[in-house]
Amino acid sequence: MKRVRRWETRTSVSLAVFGALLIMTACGSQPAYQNSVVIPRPSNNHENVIEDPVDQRFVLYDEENKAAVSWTNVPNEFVYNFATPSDVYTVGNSLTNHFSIVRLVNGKVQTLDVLPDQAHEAVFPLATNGRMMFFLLVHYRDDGTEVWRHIVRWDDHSKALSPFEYVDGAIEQGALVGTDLYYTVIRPDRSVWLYRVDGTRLDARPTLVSTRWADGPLLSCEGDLLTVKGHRLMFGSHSLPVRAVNLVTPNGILVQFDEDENSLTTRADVYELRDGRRIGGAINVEGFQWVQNGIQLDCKGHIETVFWSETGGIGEIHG
Amino acid sequence: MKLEWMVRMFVVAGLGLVAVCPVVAADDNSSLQPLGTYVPHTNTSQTLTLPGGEGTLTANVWRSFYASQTGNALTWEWQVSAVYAGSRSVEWIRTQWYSQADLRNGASISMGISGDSASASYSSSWQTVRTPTKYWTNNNGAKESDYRGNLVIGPAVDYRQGSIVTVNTASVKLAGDPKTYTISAGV
Repeated sequence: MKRVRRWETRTSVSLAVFGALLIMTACGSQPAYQNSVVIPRPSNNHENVIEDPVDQRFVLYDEENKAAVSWTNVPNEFVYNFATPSDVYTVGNSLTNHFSIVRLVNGKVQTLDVLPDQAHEAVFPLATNGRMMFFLLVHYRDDGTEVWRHIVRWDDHSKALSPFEYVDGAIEQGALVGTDLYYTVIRPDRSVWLYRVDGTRLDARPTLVSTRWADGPLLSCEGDLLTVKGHRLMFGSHSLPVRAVNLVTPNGILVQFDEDENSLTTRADVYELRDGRRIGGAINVEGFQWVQNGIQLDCKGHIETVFWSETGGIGEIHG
Repeated sequence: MKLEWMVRMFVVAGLGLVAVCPVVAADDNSSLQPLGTYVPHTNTSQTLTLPGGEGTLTANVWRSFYASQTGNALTWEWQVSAVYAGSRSVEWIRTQWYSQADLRNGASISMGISGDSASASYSSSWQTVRTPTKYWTNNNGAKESDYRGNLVIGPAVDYRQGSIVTVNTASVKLAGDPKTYTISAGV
């Protein structure tokens, strides 16, 4: 009898230990999510991390060999950019979230902020003028359905995101005109409403500007919003087709990235909005980086840098 | 009586229809099957269920099973597509592809697109050579993007039999959803 009890006790203890080990092993095998996506790191002075805005990924580019070395190539991990010159991006996974805000400094990625609720929140660039930065913060349920969207402002002193008190809805895009933040909201009937809110006050109430704003990118230039008509960007008497990626500098330079239909690679075109003139561009673009009054297009086999004057207008083009 | 006769005729007609219908292999249901003559092929699909019940994104890839040899060149037909199934409007949908094979002695591989040729070095040892990635995007509201071409490797003697791989990555951006989604499939 005693033997039987001892055997029972031993079995129970063994089972308990085995169970505990199993639980510990299971816990240990949980993916240890770090700071969002896996970002390539330069291994020498010739390598820089740049952004590929079409594939929405960071690229490690070798400026000496003029070739891409590696990419952020984990499925569903993407990089999101502002539509105006900025070295700040958000990165995250479309299925698991784990978003963070990062800055490209001298070809290396530095983390500015990691969202506290890694599993349920995602953050996307909305608008910036270099001094103020606004993001779209989205909260999801466990099943991936959305709960809410807010516009948040980055405070560089406290290194924190603060929401606008009275801004909500299916916010989609944003653009800054002075300190006014314009943003679009998609309505249930798929119409696009345009709002304006004072970007300096988180307690400001938004003003409805239009209930029939056109689909397309929301961009601003020289104190005004660009309108979109028939899939074309209108500026004064000039118009240019909307492309896959459309970026505008404060002094009226439009940089567009899209597919080159002949080479089936990424092409970049740089225009002066004032007169619609094309001032530069390239095909086989692996990524780009903003430089002082210009843009450096890092391509397969060559680098093209397009400069413009501080007030806009054509500058030099270097191959 | 008349009704019973009519029912019998329907049954006979139905069986007759089944009898004359060709037997369709399971993988022939692929939307990538080129029109015309049946080509023995290898194909696969991978589907991603998008979060929040927004639908599915499928990457399809198809390649003819046998290479046709003309002189020293081996040629395969290939086709790739990205398909979104769901009720949301599509901002853009993209199919993106490359192929790779084990080659040697300067042999080259191309998927038939301008500038996509890649070559092995002049060494007798096998090297895995990959074509540059190319892509095709539809941003006209279509829920599918596809592309097809011929894959050529030569000379045939410097290709390691059975080493050819074709990979397709499908990506989609849905209107109103700030995220981009992707899924890959390879044969």
